[in-house]
Amino acid sequence: MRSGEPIFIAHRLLDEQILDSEGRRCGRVDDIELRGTPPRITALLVGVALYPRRLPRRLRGLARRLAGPERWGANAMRVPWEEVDEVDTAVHLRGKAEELGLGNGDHPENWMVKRLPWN
Amino acid sequence: MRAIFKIALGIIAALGGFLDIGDLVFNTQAGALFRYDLLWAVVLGTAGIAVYAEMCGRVAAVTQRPVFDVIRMRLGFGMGLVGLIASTLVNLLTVAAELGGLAIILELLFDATFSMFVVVAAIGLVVVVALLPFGGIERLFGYCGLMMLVFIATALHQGPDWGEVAHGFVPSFSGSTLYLYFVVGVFAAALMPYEVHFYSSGAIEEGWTESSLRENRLNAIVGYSLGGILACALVVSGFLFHPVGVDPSDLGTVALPAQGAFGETGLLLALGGMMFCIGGAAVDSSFSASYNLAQFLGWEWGRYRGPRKAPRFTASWLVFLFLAMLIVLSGINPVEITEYSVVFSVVALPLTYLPILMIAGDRSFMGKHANGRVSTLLGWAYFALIVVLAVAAVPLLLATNGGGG
Amino acid sequence: MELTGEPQAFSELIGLPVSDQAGRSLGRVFEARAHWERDGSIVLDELMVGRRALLRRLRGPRPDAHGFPWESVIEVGRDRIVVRR
Repeated sequence: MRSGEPIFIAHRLLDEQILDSEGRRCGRVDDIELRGTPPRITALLVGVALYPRRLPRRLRGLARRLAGPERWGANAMRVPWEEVDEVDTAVHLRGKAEELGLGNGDHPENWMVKRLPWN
Repeated sequence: MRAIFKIALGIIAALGGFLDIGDLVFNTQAGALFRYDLLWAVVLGTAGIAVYAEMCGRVAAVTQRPVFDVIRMRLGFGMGLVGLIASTLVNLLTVAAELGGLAIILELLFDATFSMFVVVAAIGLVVVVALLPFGGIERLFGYCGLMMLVFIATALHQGPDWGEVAHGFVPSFSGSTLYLYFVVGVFAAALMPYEVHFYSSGAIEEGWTESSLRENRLNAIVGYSLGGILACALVVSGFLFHPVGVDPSDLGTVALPAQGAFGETGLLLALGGMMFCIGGAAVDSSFSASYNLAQFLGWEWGRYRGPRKAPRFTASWLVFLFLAMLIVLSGINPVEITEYSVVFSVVALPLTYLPILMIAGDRSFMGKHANGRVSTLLGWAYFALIVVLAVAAVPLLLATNGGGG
Repeated sequence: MELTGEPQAFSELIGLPVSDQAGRSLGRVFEARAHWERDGSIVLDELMVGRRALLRRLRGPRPDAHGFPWESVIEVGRDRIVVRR
């Protein structure tokens, strides 16, 4: 991660596991936001609603119907690049998953999680 | 000294947990139909799983990446999803087969209906998994599975013609389609992907790091090789049925040679060993399904996290177990389910094997622990073999009418 | 969709067919080479273009592999990219 060091985006960043500051697994890098010329990474995008983008054109319609529309803050989360601490064998974030709206499906306050028999 | 002890225990657990219902069905039938002529295929499959498991274990220990993390990184979302769906379907079939096998054995030991025992078996597994930590679960099924050693004792007791047995280790091709089907079946039963996927996630559950690489190597190579001896013993005892003409596709008859050699004790050891082998395999295959789903999607996962910290992983495990239960209760013969699970496993195998092979050889991920010359050669040789078998599997299944001949 | 200040998704770049000004097809984008800056941000340098994308994705790019520098990109359209050769 030193200045100037090269990184291949699809090989090392896209689809990578995301870990929060406490080592909790909270999703994968489902897409990446770029801005400018030359493009600079401005955010990581995480969520089920992003899956249709990753599929071949022919399957996108069906996938979109299954995943639902992109609702930012609900099934699609934007993680600003400043929140990223380090990228090695995973993407490590500076903050906690809940602060960034990640890993909601595993969060104890999630309505579905509360209904599980052991909770 | 403690390290050696720990490694030895790991090898013992690997040995005890090596067999599952696929091996029991295919290997004993192979012996009954083809005498010792398929022993070479057992050895080939055993060596294959040792190679694949060692690579997966090494990747997990060095990079902390289990199989489906690697698959998503290397194949991307689209192709990775294909792999996930294929793996999940195969795993469901496998769990169903193992549950069915457990129910059959319980039927032999106790008195109630098959359906009742399917439910009892499923509930029993949930209880065991809920009560024990990861290591405890593996040790319980692994150590108790050692009762299967009675099959080696039986084979020795029957005093087969060792010259003929030795001949079986030399590859021969009888040319019949049924023989070729069993080559695929015996190999595939030894190289079930769920076992390797479980091993890889298990490495992370147990906290393996670079310092665990020797343990990984010994577990995979020594543990699985010893397991291969057990698998060969099944073939030998399967042949001993041949003159009697009993159909070994009925699971109960698999245990009969042990009774013939050692009476009631032998029978109980055989049935008990089978129960723990199959039970362990049911846990491994159902966990595998949940591991794969959670890892692919980026959820929290692992028995070591517990149901509170990994709720989706835990819930998915219960759902998979339940779905598998429904499959068995639908009335399909568990032995048939087993055959489908083994055959489709090898069809799906290349897709989950190749990304691991590539990452195991990638220095930018593995550093100095990347595949050396021997591992690279073996890894690719097995990939070629797996592709050939994957292509041949379904045609052979259809041509032989599911091994019916 | 020109690259202005508008955000673009990486998923929209990957898989786009690439041609030169003469219209000759050069393959598809399968990877982007970028670098770390001192302030921790990542900036894209080059687009890796080729055929047989899946195989390349599996093997991963060689560390010294290079593609088309961003300066040579003339146009980024909805369904294609044009580069100056």
